[in-house]
Amino acid sequence: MEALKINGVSKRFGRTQILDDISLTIQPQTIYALLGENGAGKSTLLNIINDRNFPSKGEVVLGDHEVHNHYPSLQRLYLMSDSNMYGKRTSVSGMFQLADEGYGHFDYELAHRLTKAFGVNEHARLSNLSTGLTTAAKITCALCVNADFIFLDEPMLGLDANHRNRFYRELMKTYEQRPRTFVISSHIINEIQSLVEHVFVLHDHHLIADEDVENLLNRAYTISGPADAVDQYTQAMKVLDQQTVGKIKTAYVIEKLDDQQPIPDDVTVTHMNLQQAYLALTNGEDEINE
Amino acid sequence: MNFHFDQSGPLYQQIADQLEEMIFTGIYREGEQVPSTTQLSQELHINPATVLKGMNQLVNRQLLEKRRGLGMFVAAGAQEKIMETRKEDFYHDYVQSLVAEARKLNINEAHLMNLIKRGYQNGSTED
Amino acid sequence: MNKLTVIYRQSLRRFFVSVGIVALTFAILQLLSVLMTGFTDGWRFVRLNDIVSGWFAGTWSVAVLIYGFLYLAFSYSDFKLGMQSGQTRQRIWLSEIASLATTTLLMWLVWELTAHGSFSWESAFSALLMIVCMMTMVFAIGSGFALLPRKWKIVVAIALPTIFVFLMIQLAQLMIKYFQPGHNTLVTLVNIASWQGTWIIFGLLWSAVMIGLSYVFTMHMQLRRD
Repeated sequence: MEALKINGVSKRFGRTQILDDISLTIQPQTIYALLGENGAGKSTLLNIINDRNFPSKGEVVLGDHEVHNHYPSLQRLYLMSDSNMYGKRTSVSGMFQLADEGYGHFDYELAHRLTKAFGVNEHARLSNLSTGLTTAAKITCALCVNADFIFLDEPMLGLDANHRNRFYRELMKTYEQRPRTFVISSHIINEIQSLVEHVFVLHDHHLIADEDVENLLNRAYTISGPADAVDQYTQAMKVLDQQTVGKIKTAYVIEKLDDQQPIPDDVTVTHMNLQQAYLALTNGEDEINE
Repeated sequence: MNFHFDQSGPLYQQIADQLEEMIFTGIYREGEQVPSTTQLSQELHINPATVLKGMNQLVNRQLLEKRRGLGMFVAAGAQEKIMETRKEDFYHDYVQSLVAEARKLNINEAHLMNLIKRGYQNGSTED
Repeated sequence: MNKLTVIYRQSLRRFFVSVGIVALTFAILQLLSVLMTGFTDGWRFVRLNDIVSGWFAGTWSVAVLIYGFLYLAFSYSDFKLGMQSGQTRQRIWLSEIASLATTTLLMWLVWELTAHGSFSWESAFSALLMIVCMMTMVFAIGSGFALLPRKWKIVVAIALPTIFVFLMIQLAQLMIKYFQPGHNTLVTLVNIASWQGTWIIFGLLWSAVMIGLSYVFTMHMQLRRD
């Protein structure tokens, strides 16, 4: 199956630069995380990929075709977004019907099971549901729609821990049964770390990371110990972030450690989780810019 | 089934290690079926590719075997194999660090031997 | 199943709902006026035929206005719905045109069936042309509006009619200034204006331009940030 390629996409709204020369490839049947602080341009990027916004520069290509105004391509992409795409009177079941009419072969069976599990009334209007239940209804739709590339913009917005767990489980289940691509944009990094294979990080309108989670975490280290020992050990490294509590210093680096360089006895080296790696990456980027 | 994950290394490695531990301690006996990739992936919220990678490590070490259409089963002699590997690893995993730590604490060889003896005695009374 | 129906169905439903509401309102108004006439002038002046045709005519003219107004408001919603359903802008435009054609024909049929007096193909055709002109214009304006953020919508909504009125005044002034009564040019103009072919050509051109504009506008629609 073909990959979805984003080639040199930039976006300006008036004088504000939202995205600056973003290039990335989204493979079929893979789960991605799209990370970035508010205003980094995540939603805009997703809107451009799905042809809801035009890029100021660059293009989005699926296989041999530019996605823009190309019906067979658009039929393979689905974006669940935060912005309200439905009319005021659209009900939950109406949303399912639209997805069925638009994409065909909607999985009503799964949808009914999920709305029941989430406690969503299918006859209720979307505009009358709480934030959490609206999200639950929308992710239900996204998991049941017939498309190859599913983009989920903030799919955990307002969901409580129970509902989030159910979502993760159902995502894994449907992904195993019918592998397709999911791109999850979220701030709840720790909870999606084990779900995703690959991560994109947007920061300050640029793409600063595009890497397999395993590779990234394999070379993401927390180095802590007495300040001078840590300083000495990390002398030749690019320290992305650091904290000092009393005499103990913790440095965050993302690079391959030199096997030849012995780790001092009083220094501990551990791996980071995805959230720490994300914070280190974005912080490191800020320091370069300062 | 009780998996616990930390930041000690790649997730697939932790899955492999913990499954191995479960086989070693006899939670899953030889010839018994272990949870499927699907089950583990759904219960633990882990990408199936990661789970599969961990399981394949055990398959490559012939601790698990795939039975077509049925799932993954603990291979015959798996426990024995784990025991052998662990014995091989025992020297540099435990003995070397034990001696290194003992040196730091100025514990000489005879003293260390005594301590080990004491450990064995206490251990046997506790059992 | 034809996936074009997503928006088509939506706007047809909107049409029938609005016609329904208008019809009901008129029925109530008509009933009230009948009661008024009955009580003040006596019941012998009340004729069923007049009531029904009055009701139809009233419903029809207001329904066109309401439906046009709905297009002004709903172009952007239809666009969003279409995008969420994996449609292209062309397909969204096509389904709008299809629903427009359907409702135009419906309105025309109702008009012709309820029109009193003698039927003629000529007048039926001009009525159709008139509806087409109105509906395409409303659609063009609606899709143009959909491109604008809220603030600009208000600006354009005020500016556009102002410009129209200004141009009309200018035109009238030109007429007064240059064309004296009995002057040849004026006579020619009046002749041209009174020839029906002029209006047919004008109507067709107008509709084509409006349809073209609506296409261009729809192709430029984007998700807005407001």
